[in-house]
Amino acid sequence: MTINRKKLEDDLMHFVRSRSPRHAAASPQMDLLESGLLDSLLLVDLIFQIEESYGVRFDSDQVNPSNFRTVEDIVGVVLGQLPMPQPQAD
Amino acid sequence: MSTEILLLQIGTEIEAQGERTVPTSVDYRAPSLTSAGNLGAAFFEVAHSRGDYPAIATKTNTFSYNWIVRAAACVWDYLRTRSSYAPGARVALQLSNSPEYLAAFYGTLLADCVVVPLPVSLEDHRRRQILELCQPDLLITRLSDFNLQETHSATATLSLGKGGHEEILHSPPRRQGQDLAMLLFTSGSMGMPKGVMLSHRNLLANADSILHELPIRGTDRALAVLPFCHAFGNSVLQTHVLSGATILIDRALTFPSSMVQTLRELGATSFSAVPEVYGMLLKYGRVGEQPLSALRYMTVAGGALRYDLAAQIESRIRPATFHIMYGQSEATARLASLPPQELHARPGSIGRPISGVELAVMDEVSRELPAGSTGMLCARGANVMLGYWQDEKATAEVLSGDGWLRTGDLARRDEDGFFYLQGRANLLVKIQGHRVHPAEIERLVEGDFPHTCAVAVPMTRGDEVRFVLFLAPRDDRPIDVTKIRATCQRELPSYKQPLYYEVLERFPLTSGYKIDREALARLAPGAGSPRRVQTDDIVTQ
Repeated sequence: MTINRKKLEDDLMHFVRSRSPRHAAASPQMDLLESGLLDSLLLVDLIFQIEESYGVRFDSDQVNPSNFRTVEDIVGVVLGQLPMPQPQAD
Repeated sequence: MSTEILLLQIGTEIEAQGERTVPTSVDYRAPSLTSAGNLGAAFFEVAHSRGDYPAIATKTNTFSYNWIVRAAACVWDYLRTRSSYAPGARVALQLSNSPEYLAAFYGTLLADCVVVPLPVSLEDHRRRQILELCQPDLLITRLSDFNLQETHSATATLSLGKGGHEEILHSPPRRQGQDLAMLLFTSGSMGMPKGVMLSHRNLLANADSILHELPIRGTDRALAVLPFCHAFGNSVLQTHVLSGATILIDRALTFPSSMVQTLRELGATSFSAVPEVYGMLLKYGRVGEQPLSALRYMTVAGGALRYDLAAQIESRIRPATFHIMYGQSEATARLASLPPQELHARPGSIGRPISGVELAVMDEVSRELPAGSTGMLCARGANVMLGYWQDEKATAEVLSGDGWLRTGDLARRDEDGFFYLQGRANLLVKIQGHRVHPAEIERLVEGDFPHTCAVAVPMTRGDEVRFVLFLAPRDDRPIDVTKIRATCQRELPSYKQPLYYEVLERFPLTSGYKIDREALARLAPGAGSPRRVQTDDIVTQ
C-alpha cells in the first residue's frame, strides 16, 4: 500500500482537530506537546488509528516526543514505515 | 456560573526558597493516624515535624513541607476572613497536580470547609451540573488550569506567600471524625453526577489501611501520574504526605518512554497507575530494559489489568514488587490488594481485603454466598462513604443499614478468601480510571436531537475501551451524524467521546422489547471477525 503524504496529513489533521474545540485550530506544524493538545489518551488513539488504517506497526523506539511533536513529524514517521512506491517505467 | 473564583499564584519570594538540596533523611516515623480526627490537622502535624524535607519535587524545583504549610495557611486565612465563611462550606478545586493543589486542599480542610476536587479537563456542562448540586462558596484554580474567558464570575487572586501558620495552632479545625471532608463527583447510574461524601474518618482510615499494606516510608519518592482529584490519585497523595514522603510531579508524562525516563531521572521509589498506562508502558515504554535502581514497587488500580500484562510488568521491574489493588470512590479509594508473591498462584485475582475492610460476595437479598459463587461484591469498613450528596434514594440503593456497600462489581471468592472480578452488574464502563455511564452520552445526544435514538456501547480496542454510538431515527427525519459528532466533541472530554458513529434503521430488541445492547456490541467495528477499519469511518465530517 502506498500513501499520499497530503492524504495522510489531511487524515491525521482531521483526527486531531475533531478531538475538541480546543484542538480545532491545530495546524500540521503546531507543537502538540507545548500546546498541551497531546495527552496520553489522544496518543493512544492516534497510534491505534494509524495502525488500523494504514497497517503499520509502531515499535517502542518510535513512540517518543520527537516523533510525535507535530502532525508533520508523525506523517514523516508513518511514511518511513511504509514500502517505497515502485519507480514507474517511462 | 456565579461561583466566585480564586486564582492561586506562587509568590516570587517563596519560589526562590524552593530548596534545591534534598536533606538526607534518617528514616522518618510519621505520627500514628489512629488518633487523628481531621485530615488537615494530621497533615499539619506531619508537616510541622518534617520541616524543610521536600513534600513535592519536580525536575527543577522542590517545595518543602514548611512551604506547603505556609501556602496552606494563606488559603486558610483567605477562607476564614471571607464574609460568607461558614464551617462545612464547599470549596471546589480545579487544579492540576501541583504544590498549589496541596495548599488549597489542606488549607480548606484546616479552615473546616469541605473540598470538592474537580478534574482540570472537566467539560463545562458537567462543571455547571456539579456546582449547581453542591453550591460551593468558592472555586480555587490557577491561570494555567482554567479558561477565564468562559466565565463571568467575580475573580480574585491570592499570592501564596508567607502565611502565618502559627495562627492555625491557635484555631485548630473543629470538624473531624464523621464530619464531611470531601465530595468526589463520579458518574451515577443515569449519567448524572453523584457526589460521594467522604468523612475525615473515611480518608484517614483508608490511608491507615494502605500504610499497613504497602511498604511506604518517609524516604519514598512517588511519581504521581494520576490526578489528585481522582480517588486513586488522592489516595496516593494522602498516604505519601501522611508518611512524610515526597511526591514527584512532572509535566511531560504523555509518552510511556518519558514516564520511564522520569522514573529514573527523579529516582522514584514507587509508581501507581491505571491498567491502560501499564499496557502502554509494556508496548512502548521499554520498561525494564534499563534498571530502575531506586524503584521499590508499583501498584495498579482503577480497573482490571489482564493477568498476562501484570505478569510481564512484574518480571520486568524485579526486584521491585508489583501490587494489584482494587477499590472505588465510594470506599474512599482502596479495598483489596493482592500480595506480590500471590500474583502467579492466583491469576486474575484482586486479592484479599486490606486491613480494616471486610469483603463479601452477596446475592440479591444481601445474603453472603459461599466460595465459588458469583454475586455482588460488597464491602464494609471505616472507609465506606457516608452516602451520596443530597441523594438518599441512590444512597439507599448501595448502602445497607448494617454498613455494607454494594460495589456494583460482580465477583467470586476462592476457598482461601481471594476475590476475582466477574464483570459489572450495571452499564458503567471504566476508561483510563474514569467511570463513564453510557447514559451520559445518550442523554446529551437525545437532548439535542430529540428525533434521534442513541445507544452508546463500549468496544475493546487493543487494551483500551472506547464507545461506539449507535443512532436510529425516531421518525422520518434523517440523522445528521456530522452535527451529532460536533455536539459530542464540544460537550464531552476525550475519553467519553464515541470513536465511531453507526446509523441503523432500527435497534435490535431483546425478548423483553428492550434495546439489545449485547447485539449492538456485536455490530461494533472490530467485534467478531476483525474488519479493517477504513479511515473514512473516523474522519469523514
